[in-house]
Amino acid sequence: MPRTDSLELGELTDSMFYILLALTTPRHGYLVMQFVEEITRGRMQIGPASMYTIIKKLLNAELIEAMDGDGKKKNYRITNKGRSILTDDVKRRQAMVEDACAILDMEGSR
Amino acid sequence: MRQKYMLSWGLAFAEEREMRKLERMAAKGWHLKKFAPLGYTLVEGEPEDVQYSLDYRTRPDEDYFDLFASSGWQHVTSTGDEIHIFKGNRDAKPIYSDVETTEEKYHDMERQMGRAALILSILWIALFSLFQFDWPIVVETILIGVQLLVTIGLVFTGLPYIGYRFKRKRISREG
Repeated sequence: MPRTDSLELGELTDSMFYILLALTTPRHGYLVMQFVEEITRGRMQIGPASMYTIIKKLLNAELIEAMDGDGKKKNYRITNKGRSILTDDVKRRQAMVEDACAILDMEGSR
Repeated sequence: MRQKYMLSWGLAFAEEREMRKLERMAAKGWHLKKFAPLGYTLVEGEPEDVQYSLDYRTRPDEDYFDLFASSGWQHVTSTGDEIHIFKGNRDAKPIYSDVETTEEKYHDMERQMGRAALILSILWIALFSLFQFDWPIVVETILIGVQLLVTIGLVFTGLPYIGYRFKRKRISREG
């Protein structure tokens, strides 16, 4: 049986999280890959096959939409639905970090 | 230009092994040109230090090949608008960068093969049950022929199904 899709649970994978972040500004696929590499300082690099899979998935779930691009490269941007799921996911991740910080007695707990 | 045939043991089982073998062949000056029945056609050229990667994707659009090209992966060949092979420099980053999408790569193939194998199994059992009756020799010969074809079809869908499934499970386990 296929394992439960994390998107159906309303949770984003790490790659989806960063791709949605990148698409708060309209960008085409390769620019998204570069943007993610830059803001994570190379910690996360998205491969082209992963990128294409995720773009299709986010389009299907209507978390992003294609725009009429200049020339042949398609531009994408986040939808309202995408933004609200991203915001929820940021809160979820923030809560996780706060829990961990409180237990590990690290900076960042409140 | 001289050509060479390289046998494939089935992508469901030997994808990584065969991509590595294609790389060793390229280093010796034999380059992948296209898919051939149950294998690959290689052509002779200059030795190259490259890596090969394979992806499954049904009818991808231009953006797909653009993404690969901008990431340093040159499209080499495809078969059935479904299986695609790319060639990259040694420093090209892997085409799959996370577990979730890697798993999905095999998941679709597993589903396709599984569906085909299921239909063929039902057909196989139906045909088998027809042998219970007495048939004229001509009909019986035809039945045996059809049964044989279905059996071959079952092997070529059932085994890949098991292969893809096994591979996907391993990926999700190892993470």
